Amino acid sequence: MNQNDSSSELNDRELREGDHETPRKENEGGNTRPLLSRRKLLWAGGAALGAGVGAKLFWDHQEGFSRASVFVAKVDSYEADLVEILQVALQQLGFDKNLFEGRSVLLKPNLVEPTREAPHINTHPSVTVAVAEVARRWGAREVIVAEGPGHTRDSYLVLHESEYGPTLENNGIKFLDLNTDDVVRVRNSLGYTTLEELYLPRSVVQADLVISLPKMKTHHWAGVTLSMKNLFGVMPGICYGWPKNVLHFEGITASILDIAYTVRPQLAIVDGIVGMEGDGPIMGTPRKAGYLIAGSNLAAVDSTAVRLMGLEPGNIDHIARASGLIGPIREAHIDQRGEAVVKPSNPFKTVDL
Amino acid sequence: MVGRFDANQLSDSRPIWIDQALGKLATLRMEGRGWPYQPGNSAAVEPTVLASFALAADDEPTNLVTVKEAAEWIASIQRDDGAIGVTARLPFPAWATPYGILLWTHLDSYLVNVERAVAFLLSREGRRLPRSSESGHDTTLAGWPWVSGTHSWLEPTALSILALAKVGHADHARVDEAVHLVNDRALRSGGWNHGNTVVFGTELRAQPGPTGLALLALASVNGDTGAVEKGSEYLIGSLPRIGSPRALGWGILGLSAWGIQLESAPRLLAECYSKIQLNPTPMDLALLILAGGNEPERFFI
Repeated sequence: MNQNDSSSELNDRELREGDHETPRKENEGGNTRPLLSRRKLLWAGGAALGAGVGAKLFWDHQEGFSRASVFVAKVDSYEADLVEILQVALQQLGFDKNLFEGRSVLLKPNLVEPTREAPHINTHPSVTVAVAEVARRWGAREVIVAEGPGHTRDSYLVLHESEYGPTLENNGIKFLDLNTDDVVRVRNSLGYTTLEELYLPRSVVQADLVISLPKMKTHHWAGVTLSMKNLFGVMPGICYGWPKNVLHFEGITASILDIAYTVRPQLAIVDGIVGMEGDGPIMGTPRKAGYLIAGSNLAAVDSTAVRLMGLEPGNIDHIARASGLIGPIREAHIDQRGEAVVKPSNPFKTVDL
Repeated sequence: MVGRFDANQLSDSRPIWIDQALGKLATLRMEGRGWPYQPGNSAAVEPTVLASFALAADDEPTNLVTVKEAAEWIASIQRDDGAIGVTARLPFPAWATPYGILLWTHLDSYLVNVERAVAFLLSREGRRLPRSSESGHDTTLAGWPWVSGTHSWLEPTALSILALAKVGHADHARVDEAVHLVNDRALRSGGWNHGNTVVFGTELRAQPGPTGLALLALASVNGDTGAVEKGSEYLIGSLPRIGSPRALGWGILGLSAWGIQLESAPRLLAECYSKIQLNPTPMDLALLILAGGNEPERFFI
């Protein structure tokens, strides 16, 4: 995203207090249920569920001419040659050096919580560094890693406890705390929430290329957290809080879609080598899936990742609603490259409500 | 030219690293205003107040001029309703309002500004919600939110307690309820985080920064209901392992407020400065300097 339009710059116009108010739905415990009733996730066997009518309609939406390519790589461990694998993935998706050459690149991994006890919470640093290396080899002018952790104001602590700090330092990669960056007010391009404008970190707005690097995880409110949900971490805490409660009150699904539609990362790469199942996104258990999933359309990438988790994309609210809006989620509309999508016999466990 | 600090250069007098940190802090100031969150960015209220306290702790006369300029800058961006935004260009949200109160009160000036800010704080509360089995804390209690219209969270509530207690409102009903909230948000295993305790039956993890701030707030109103001991134990156990400036800063401040001195604090602070000195942020420097001084909690309590 590179908004040079001066109208997007923060100006002297008085901000309205109501910009961050007017939640759409009553809130329980500080978190908001999706706009539709939360549904149980369908297993690969296709068992019938109680489903909100609205989500099913979205899921059945034709998606028009919406098509996208997704590359799936089988990766056994983080010790594999991730740089080579990612280069092949990007080439198979039709990219070449032009993707990165001369451009500033912002990598947005999922760094949620500062703890050494659970490395499966965060995007593995090896994946992030590998992406940075590919960008550099393909001529990127600048590569930074940036995150706005939602549960802590101490990004140094997150770096220290997640071991990102030493890894980034050893590889000469700068880290930027998105929670406290200067902000730019941009128009909410979609408008599913009541937020007319979104406050984005200047670094995100000014980057030539933004890449969402999520961890493959279940999420006790959103169903899953992948490349679209990962973008919550782009929203600066100085504007949205810790946690980013404004977005919860606005509706998690609506917020995910507004942010994804407005920020529009050009690429998503899911770290599914070891993901998380159960009570994600923090307190779940590690689950080895053995995949990296890459693509330029976040809806297509996320729906593919969901299938690899053994779940059904149409039963994840924000993915169902992303259908045709952000991109295709139906298998028939996704040009699958690399490994075939094989649903596991034992799907990722989720939190049953 | 300031040389690179070596943590092995510890001595019995004021640590050398504090002098270096103060010098570095001065270079990061935005002329005529305050300090940014990140070097080169816009001046922001929170790092400005913390940096001002760090300078004030140094007792140099020239520092007082700088601190007064910072206070004036904050007064200049105060909203008509008394709230204080995050930066000059971000008048909303208003969670930084307590910081303005703390700085002005320290200078014993800007009394009208203080009054207006206090009136704003007392007029706002976090959103109360029905109890939920999915959440471990009492969602019906109100403290202060990060953003108007949202739920109450630990840090804005703790900051508001500090500010209101500082101006003589320790017995106010709002503060009383806020203290209940802080105690309610304590983790059973000890310490605090951003303000979530148990979610879907699982207790979340504590963090040193919020724990230190919670201890500070409870000390300001003598509001211990048993969470202080466990919180202190958590900090004593975790700080030696955690090298973050904010963890150390707030953590040591919180312990000091309850008369607890961490024996390894001087070494930990020096080592931390040694690690960050090439690329520190103003907040990191300010918190380390404050934590390395005598009775650092006096700026908050």
